[in-house]
Amino acid sequence: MTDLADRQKLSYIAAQAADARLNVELETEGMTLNIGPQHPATHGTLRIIVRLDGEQVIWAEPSAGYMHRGYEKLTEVRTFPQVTALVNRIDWLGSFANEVPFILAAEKLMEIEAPPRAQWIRTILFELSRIANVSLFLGDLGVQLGAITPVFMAFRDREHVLNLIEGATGGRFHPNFDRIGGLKDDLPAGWIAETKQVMKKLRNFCDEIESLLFGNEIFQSRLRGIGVIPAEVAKQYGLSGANLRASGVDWDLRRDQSLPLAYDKVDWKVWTHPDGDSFARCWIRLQETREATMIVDQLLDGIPSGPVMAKVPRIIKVPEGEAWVSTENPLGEMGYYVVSKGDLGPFRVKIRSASFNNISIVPWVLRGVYVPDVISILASLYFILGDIDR
Amino acid sequence: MFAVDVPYWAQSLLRVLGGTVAVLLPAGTIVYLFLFKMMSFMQSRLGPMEAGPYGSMQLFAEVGKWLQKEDIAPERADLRIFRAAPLVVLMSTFLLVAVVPFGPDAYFTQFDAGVFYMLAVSSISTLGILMAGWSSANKYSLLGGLRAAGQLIAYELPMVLAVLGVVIQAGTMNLQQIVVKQNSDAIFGWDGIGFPYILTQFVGFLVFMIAVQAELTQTPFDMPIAESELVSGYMTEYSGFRFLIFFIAEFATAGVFALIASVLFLGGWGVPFTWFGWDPANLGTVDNWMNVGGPLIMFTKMMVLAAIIMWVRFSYPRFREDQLQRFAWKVLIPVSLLNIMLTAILKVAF
Amino acid sequence: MADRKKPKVPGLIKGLGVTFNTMAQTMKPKKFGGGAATVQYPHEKETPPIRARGVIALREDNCTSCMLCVRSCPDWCIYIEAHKELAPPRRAGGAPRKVNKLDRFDIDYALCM
Repeated sequence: MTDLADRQKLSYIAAQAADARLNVELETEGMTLNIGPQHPATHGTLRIIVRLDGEQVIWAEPSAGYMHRGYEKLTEVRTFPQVTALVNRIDWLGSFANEVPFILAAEKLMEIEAPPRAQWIRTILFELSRIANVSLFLGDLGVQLGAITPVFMAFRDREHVLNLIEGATGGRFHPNFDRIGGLKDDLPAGWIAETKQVMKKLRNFCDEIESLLFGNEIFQSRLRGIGVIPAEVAKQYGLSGANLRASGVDWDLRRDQSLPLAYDKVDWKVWTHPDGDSFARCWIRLQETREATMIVDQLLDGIPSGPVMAKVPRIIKVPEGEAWVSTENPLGEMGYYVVSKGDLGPFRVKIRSASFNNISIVPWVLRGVYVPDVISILASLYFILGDIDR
Repeated sequence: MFAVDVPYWAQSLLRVLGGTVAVLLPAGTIVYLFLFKMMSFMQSRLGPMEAGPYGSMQLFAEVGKWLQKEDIAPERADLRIFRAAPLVVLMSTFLLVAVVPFGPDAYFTQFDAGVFYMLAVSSISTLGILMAGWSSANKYSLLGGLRAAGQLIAYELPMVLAVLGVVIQAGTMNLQQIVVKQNSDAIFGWDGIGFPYILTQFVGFLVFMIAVQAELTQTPFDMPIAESELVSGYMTEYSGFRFLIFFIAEFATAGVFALIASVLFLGGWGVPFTWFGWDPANLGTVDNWMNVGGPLIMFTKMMVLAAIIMWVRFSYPRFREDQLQRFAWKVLIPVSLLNIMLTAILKVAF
Repeated sequence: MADRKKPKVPGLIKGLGVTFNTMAQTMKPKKFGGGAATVQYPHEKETPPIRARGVIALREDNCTSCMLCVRSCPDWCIYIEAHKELAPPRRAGGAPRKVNKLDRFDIDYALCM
């Protein structure tokens, strides 16, 4: 760990020296380059302004907002089920995961709990959306670094997960399945057996990606020691999710909070890594995907039977109050602060999305790195534009 | 050429046609078989299937599409150099194929410094890439062009040094003679399969193939293009006909380098001379049907080598620029120098 | 650390093996379990699961113009116009009932999420 941090410090010093040199001695201009908003590498319309000296970055700044859709304003005039339909679209790759903290906040205000079967199915769908999200990340990682084949394997195997979600909820990308008090429907017949088959396929996919991408020496030399984020800096900048765990911080909201989800009923492991470099972040996500498939398998074995919806009135008016619920989403920590005034819909919803805080570290981590490393560091930080801009 | 007495103008015409075919046919076959089909199969999909049976006409459809596009150039681009750059890159391919022998009498030119000429001419494409990068008035293209300059010059050296091993073993720089020697020499007295130089120059072959991968700017050495960072590197501002020329040049050069590698290391157009009782000192004894069989054999060997180049291209991520340079200067050049030393020592010893 | 163990076969060669295996798997004929992962769309079509939501359509015989769908839509893209009519009584000697008759049901698909 120490020699990686030393290399980072040296490159920072080199960057400062380059900056001084540029501005004073030679009177040459550095080149200001716009990475984005239209660019094959950024996952959407993110604009990063970098000032380069040759191929080294001296100064970088992300400029988000090209995809701002005004979610928090939109929720002010809608009822709770309507907001649930909207909220799917924040992190569009693992979309069920967006609904869960919002519905949990509403249920906290109403002081009801969903029946056990609903809680277990919610957890299963949550983990399935995590698998869908992160398996696309694993494929996309290859493309950012130049390997064009893993992304097709990722899409091929992710297709099975999306078909599962479609079979249960009706929508591949936007399930819109959670309701206050439980779920919209029960699982269809044969779903559990099919899901077990798909989990096996996904474990094979993880093994394939491990040997195709992670075992590749070129891949490792591109990512090891690049973009080291020490644990203290990670905590100060508010990183969450795999980014935080890759810097050695043992923090996982699924284990540390007691929400009405079924995580405490199954046996699973939190993965951390002592280096804080890009390779650690990517490796942790791979392990977490495997862990998620094993969680789903254990959950499928033990689903309790019963109703999927608690006794709630037909027209739900959530009582007055404020509630904050945050969960461990695929991208990091996502939370909703719901203020209700006793109406059909929320008075105000504040959405704390993971990627917005994850990219706040971009100016710090991109100092002194080369242009190709900019792309690989951004790839390893993993953000989704809908999550940043909401 | 044949027993027919062909006038000189007809011979020149045949040479021009043959040169065009020798460049475009490998390019087209490599694009269809490897880029469209092999890459698709490696990605669990079928590739183009609609244009023609199994998508065989896709390349013609794409050529037609590019030809009918508007010829645009950026406003501040240096127009003359912008227009000339793709032609320079393609020109080096045609110059390169002029010296490759396809059969005992089927060659375009033959001169005693064939290897030297080939190595010199293959670096003309570097100029074209630099011209494209600078004249595009685009920061991304500039980055791509500069990276290309560094990379292509760095990897010229391992290529030269790897080929030197073959030249020492053959004792000549004439490509036709290298082919003859590979097919007529004996390995420790046994001449069942001739003596393809890949057997003793295995290290040289590896270094040459790696250097060729870098010269073609294929992954893992495709920093100049680097699609996820530079959008298309030095080719960003090109569209339509000019992009078509870059595209064809890329795959044609891959084919021609594979042809050269098969000449230098795999025995070229020949089958071992002892199989048919030909006399290595007198090429006239080689049967005339070899003038048709030779190109076919060369084509097959080229396809095998191009398959390896493309297979590596589709499987690996790319190196960073400084890792690339480090690899060339600190690994490939010392290894190839060692190879030359060993070859020289062993050549004298045996 | 589990990620630092040196594999027996160098990762570069294993990677080539993975792509080669995928290619071989795609080239195997369908009856041996091979084939591509894609569906050649215009010639073969997949059937979606029963619950799949595509485009919303109305069953006119069932519609009572209760306006519940108009109020629930997150984008308010459903437009309904209805009028009240008198229908004959259910039993002889009863009073005529007021029913809603649907005039126009429209979904503005430009707004529909």
